[in-house]
Amino acid sequence: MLQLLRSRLRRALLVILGVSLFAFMIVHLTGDPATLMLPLDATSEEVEAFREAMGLNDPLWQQYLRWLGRAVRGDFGLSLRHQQPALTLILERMPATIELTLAALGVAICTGIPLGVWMASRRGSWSAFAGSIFGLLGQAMPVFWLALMLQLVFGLLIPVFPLTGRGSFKQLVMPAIALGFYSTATIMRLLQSHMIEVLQQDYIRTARSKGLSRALVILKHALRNALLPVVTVIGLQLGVLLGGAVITENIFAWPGVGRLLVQAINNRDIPLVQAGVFVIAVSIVIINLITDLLYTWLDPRIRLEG
Amino acid sequence: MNTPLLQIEDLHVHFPLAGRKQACVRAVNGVSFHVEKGETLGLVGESGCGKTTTGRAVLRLIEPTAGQIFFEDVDVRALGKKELRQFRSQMQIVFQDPYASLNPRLRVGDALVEAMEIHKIGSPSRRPALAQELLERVGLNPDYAKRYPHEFSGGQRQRIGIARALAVNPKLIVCDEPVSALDVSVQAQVVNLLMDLQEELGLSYLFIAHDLSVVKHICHRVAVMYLGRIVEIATVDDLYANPKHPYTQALLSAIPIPDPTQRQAFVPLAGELPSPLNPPLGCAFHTRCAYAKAECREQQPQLQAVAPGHSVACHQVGQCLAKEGRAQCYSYYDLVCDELC
Amino acid sequence: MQSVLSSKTALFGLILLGIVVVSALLAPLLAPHDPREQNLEKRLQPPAWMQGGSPEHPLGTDHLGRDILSRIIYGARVSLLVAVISVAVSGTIGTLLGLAAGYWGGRFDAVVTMLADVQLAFPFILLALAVMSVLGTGLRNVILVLGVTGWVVYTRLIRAEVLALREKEYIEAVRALGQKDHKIIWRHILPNVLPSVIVMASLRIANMIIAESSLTFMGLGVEPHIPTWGNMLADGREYITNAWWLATFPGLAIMLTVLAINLLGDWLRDRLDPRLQNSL
Repeated sequence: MLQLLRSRLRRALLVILGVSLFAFMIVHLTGDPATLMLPLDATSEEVEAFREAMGLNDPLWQQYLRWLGRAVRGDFGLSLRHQQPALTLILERMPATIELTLAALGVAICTGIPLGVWMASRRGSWSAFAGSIFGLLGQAMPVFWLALMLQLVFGLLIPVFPLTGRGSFKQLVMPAIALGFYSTATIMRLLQSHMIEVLQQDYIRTARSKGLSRALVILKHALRNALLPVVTVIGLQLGVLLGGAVITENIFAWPGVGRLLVQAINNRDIPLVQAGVFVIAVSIVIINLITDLLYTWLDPRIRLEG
Repeated sequence: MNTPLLQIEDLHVHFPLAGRKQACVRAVNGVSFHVEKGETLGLVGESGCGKTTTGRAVLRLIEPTAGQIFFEDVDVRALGKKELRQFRSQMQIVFQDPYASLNPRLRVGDALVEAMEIHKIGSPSRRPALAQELLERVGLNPDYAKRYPHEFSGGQRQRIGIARALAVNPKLIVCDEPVSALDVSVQAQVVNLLMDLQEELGLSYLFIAHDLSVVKHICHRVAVMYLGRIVEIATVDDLYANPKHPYTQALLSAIPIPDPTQRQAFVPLAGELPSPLNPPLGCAFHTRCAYAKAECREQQPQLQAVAPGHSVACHQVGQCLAKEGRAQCYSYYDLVCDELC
Repeated sequence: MQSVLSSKTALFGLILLGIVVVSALLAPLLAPHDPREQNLEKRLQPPAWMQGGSPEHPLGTDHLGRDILSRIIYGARVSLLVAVISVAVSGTIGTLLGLAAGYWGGRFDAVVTMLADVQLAFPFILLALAVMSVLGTGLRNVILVLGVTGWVVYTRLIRAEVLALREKEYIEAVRALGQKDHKIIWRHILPNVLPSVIVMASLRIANMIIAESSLTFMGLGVEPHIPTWGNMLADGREYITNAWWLATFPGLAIMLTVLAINLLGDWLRDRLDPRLQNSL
């Protein structure tokens, strides 16, 4: 187990190194970061001075090492627009994004798991059919459109929730549902298919023939086994949600990292973009690492081998 | 004496283990043997003893870690990538699982034509006809060339596998448990086919099996493997009549004999096959051997001749030889009797 | 029962997708208006069945008086074009990398796996947004970004399948015959992984449609003057308080198209490659 932990950690560190290289390279995709960051009407002297100041005339690998050296110490440079350290700006917005992502995950788990179990146990009925249509539509709806429709219906036609902003619980409801809906559908469909598979196993028949009630068998014997693969997917969904948060935050004017990042992208505020992309990617690497270890810990078959 | 067709010297195949630096599985651990032209050498042992790996390593389908492979005058391990590809027509392989050994998406005829294409056998226009001849030679309807593998039974597929091996005119075929996945009634047919082909074409076989009764029927000589090593090698008659190594005796006693009056003593094999990851020190068999002594736990026995063409790797047999000073040792039972007396 | 149901849903998906494809191909014939034709006098007209609507514009008009139905019909062209090309590009790259990584293993495999891990650490939409902002907006760049960044799913899937196939004795048999590596891959491995590639590609078309419309909606995708579903939604968002139809219909178009593709993809998966069932 310790060995596994060590090898996974080493791997995660390597991935983070790759992530840093990519975050650095974003700026150099077109070749000249100076023209990206400076206004269009900058004179050639200004451009040259900027290059000199930013060290853009050095070889690329030197620039990368310098950038990485600073990044390790948390220094991604000053935001061009806000004139504050980029990392500080990102971290200030982090709690809002985490709040939204966890709320969405909560929505997805609290609706996806019961729905999946219910549909697997009512297999072939009309309600299960309706459920599968619900799941298919959920996976077919783009996040941003669902968000707009929620605003339209519950913000304007029947104004129960405020359209935008953050602060009250009511303001969290619509963004969390919009963001979590796709994951609800994914968890539901996955759990349903695993449950149906598990329910056909011999040990389920054994449990039933022992005289256990159907509900008990489903909840105690089947769900435990069917839930295992879902754990991995929930971990992956967290990454999906963090990505989806970028769009959701913009529609609901939610003051998180995603909204800040899109503003930074539109303003060509490169240090801020680099810091934001890096922080989000590292969070996802860490989430994946935890999921991976959690899965190993939960599955006795793997645990023994490890 | 002319040089053998295939000569293997001190062959090792070690598999590194992921995650652990020094540890490795010694699947084949110093194996030497030879195969004469027109001869069938049997390679028997329990599953996991390294016999299949040996077969693959001889063909360089798995790269050996150490050792030498000579085919006629060719140093097989010294061949470069391209040379090896050309050389491959000399040695072929027939697999155990007839359901996994044919590409499900390739017509049988096309698979045979592909083999001929690789080694430029026949002209492109004649190859389909040659493929049909091959099918006929292995006892199948030549029209089957147009069919897909899933349309055949296990025995028929195995015949197709043999035809594919024959397509490139090899001199040696490694038969990796070619009949153990088949029904008993079909087994005899395939074994007879292999024997007929040997007679017709002068083929040599390295015949890998865990079933000693099949081996007796087809092989001229037999090597018994245990945990990556050969423990006994002899002509088939000698080995069956006069097995020396306790492991060989145990294997032989497990063969059912259809005559109740000929019932022989059953030598049970105690315990499980040890892991090749962590093989026992000394004689690898000592953990299961009823007659193991202190030296068996410490020193590895080497193969030594007990009779012309018959070698055994066992300390007890070796001691018996030394003590009695005779050319031929008794079977292990006699040896134990000697000890008891 | 199960197969009848699934083929019924597949049929539904096929009809739905057929309508979308036909609309895209025959857009100039089917669209009642020029999708770019502005008419400020008729701006923000509601759908025909509502008060103030007219049968001339069945789904109403947008803030510049352009016909929404016509714009949706023309939008299908862009969505399908972007999705099909980017899936072709990413599917080809991903499959080739997966074949090579799985077949040869070793250092190349390690590098590919690492690259895949690195890319998976970036949320797809964030990666696409960041790259688009540097490369600049436009149809060609959208296809480029989606095509180049979409390879990971194929590579992972195909690599795993090749690893399993490599152990098959029929692959060993052709190796023993002395076949060249590239021919083994081409003749024996590729045909056996192709069903998985096709299933994956069909499902990915749906993802790409959503990705394109998301990028365009965020203003970093297809140019605003081209009628696309994403652009229509971006416009519609501004008018959501007083003209709901602007944002509703293009979204429905996306949803139904994606639904149709998913239904067909699920059916294909069940037919071609049941093993994939739980891995997607």
